[in-house]
Amino acid sequence: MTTDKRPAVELQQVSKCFGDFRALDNISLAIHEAEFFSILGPSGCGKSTMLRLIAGLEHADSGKLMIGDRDMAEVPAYGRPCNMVFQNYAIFPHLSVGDNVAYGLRNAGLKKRALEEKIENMLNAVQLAGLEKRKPDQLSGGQRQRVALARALVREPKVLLLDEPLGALDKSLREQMQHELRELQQSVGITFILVTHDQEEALSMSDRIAVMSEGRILQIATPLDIYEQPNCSHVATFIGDMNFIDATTDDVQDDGSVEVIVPGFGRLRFNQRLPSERRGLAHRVAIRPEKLRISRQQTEAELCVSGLVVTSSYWGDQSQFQITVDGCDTPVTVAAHNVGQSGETPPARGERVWLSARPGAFLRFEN
Amino acid sequence: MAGMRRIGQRLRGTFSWGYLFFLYLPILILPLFSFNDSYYISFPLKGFTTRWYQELSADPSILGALLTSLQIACAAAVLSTLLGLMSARALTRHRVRGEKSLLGVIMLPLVVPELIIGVSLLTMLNHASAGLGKWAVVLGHVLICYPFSVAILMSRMEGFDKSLEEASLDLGSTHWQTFRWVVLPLALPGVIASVLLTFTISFDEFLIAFFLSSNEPTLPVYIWGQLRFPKKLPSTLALGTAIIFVSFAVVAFAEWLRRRDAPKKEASQ
Ligand SMILES: Nc1ncnc2c1ncn2[C@@H]1O[C@H](COP(=O)(O)OP(=O)(O)OP(=O)(O)O)[C@@H](O)[C@H]1O
Ligand SMILES: [Mg+2]
Repeated sequence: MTTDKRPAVELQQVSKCFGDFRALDNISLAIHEAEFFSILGPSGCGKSTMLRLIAGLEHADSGKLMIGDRDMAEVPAYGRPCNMVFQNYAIFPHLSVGDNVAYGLRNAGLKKRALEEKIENMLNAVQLAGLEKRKPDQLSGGQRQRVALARALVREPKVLLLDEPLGALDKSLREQMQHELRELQQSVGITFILVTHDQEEALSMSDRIAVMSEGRILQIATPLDIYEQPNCSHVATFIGDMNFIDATTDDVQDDGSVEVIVPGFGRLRFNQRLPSERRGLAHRVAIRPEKLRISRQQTEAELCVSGLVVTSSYWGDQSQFQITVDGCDTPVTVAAHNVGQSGETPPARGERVWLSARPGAFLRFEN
Repeated sequence: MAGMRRIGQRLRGTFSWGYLFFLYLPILILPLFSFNDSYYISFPLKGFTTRWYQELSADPSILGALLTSLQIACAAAVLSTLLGLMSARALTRHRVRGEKSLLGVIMLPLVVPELIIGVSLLTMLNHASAGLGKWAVVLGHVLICYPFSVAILMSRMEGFDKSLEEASLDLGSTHWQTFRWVVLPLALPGVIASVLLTFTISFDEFLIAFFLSSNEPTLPVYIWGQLRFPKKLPSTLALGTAIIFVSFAVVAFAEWLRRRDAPKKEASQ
């Protein structure tokens, strides 16, 4: 994603309290035009609140919200160039599918013919053609979801806000809709802001992801960077699995590099310093399970240590192992893709194995 | 065992029929004697006549009372439903301070005897020299109808999904349009129920009307006055019969309307 585009939505130091509870705490972020932006975080971290704030359904206690180059402070919900797909879809039960989609155009002053054409095109786009006479209670979950989408998109908003739109769908339908949603976004070219607590959804669909926790933004980055370079242990644990191992800084060199003692893995060299780096600093190093390679023989890798298999579980496409590395107290998790020939049995419980890794695959976090 | 059950069933049947009999017998008396060619309500019946109906349609004062009653009932039904709609919306949608006690105050007229309401309104209106008459009765009736409207509409609006209104705002409708296009259609069955019920309550209310109607008697007040003149009684029966049939027709129509809309309305809950 190029960053030279001007922001479609910008929040500047926005805070929102419900009573004493800080739902949003000094949030600043800029979302680009035509970007697929996801907000990811555990339940109750303020994702919906942020979306509702942008939609104008909540009002910030402090801070500034810009959509395009307009300050939204005085603009009511019905005047904002953004539309929302609600967590429960919020389809009007007393209106037919066609009337639901037409609802947002009631104030547009379109001629009957133009209106009908627009609705027809929209229903075609979301594959609901022929259902315009149906009542919402005669629709399946996926169809309701499409009605909600069509109803919002037909207004041609600058920004589409989606609050966990796929949360209520079953797995296969969810995957299909993820795909469709991404395609739709690319074809209409408007900014999508998607709220989700499903990390795979966020990783696979987004241009950028904001990870939130307790009303704050922890990190905003591309899916790749969020996964490979999490900026704190919260992000690292929230997205994917991560092994944490207690470590100690042994030496800080003049060229900026540091040497770290990791029990069981020996002395590792890092080029980046932690903010409070000093000799003897207790901190943690981390490595993702799939970055550790498991083998029965010692390898030529720069870092290769030996350990015992504690548990071994077969998951079909991959196997997971818990391994206690000699000299390290906490067992590490290792994930291996089962690419081997059939008949090759994975290491079993109690077997002695070798783990190898690139030293660069290790990350460091302060405690 | 089976014998016991049979006796139980028989008892239940007898009870139901007896209940219906005692409940509706007096009402059946009305049409019966309204076609009876005699001033006196007593068996055996004399000949068949429609005289009382002719007399009725030629009597301007009873028709005037009927008109007054209809006007008052319409005004009371519309006003109390409107007020009820606003209150129910405020109480179900917004966080109102002291909601519990407010609701208590709203429901108070349900337990205050109408006698008290009538007397106190009479004294108050007299002191304010506001004059009595139709509007005074409407005022009193709105007071007793309002709790019913609030109760009916609150139970209807309690289950409303707040996000529907938010969706409407988000889709470019103002607050007023949202009310018109989303809240009102969803509340419509409740609104109809409230109008029908409050209309009926107002239409046959006696005490308050008696105190406040002054020289514009409502139908119940007028009929009560006529009971002193035995010769007027049969045409009163004729009027009663007409009212029963009209209200049956209205209730049947309302029920038909509700049934026809039922599948639609179910979805909105
Ligand atoms: N109207 C409100 N009044 C009081 N507290 C609220 C209100 N709306 C939200 N909150 C609180 O603010 C916090 C954030 O809520 P929000 O709905 O934004 O969470 P979320 O991240 O969307 O969670 P989920 O994934 O479960 O939808 C929650 O702790 C919630 O209890
Ligand atoms: Mg939410």
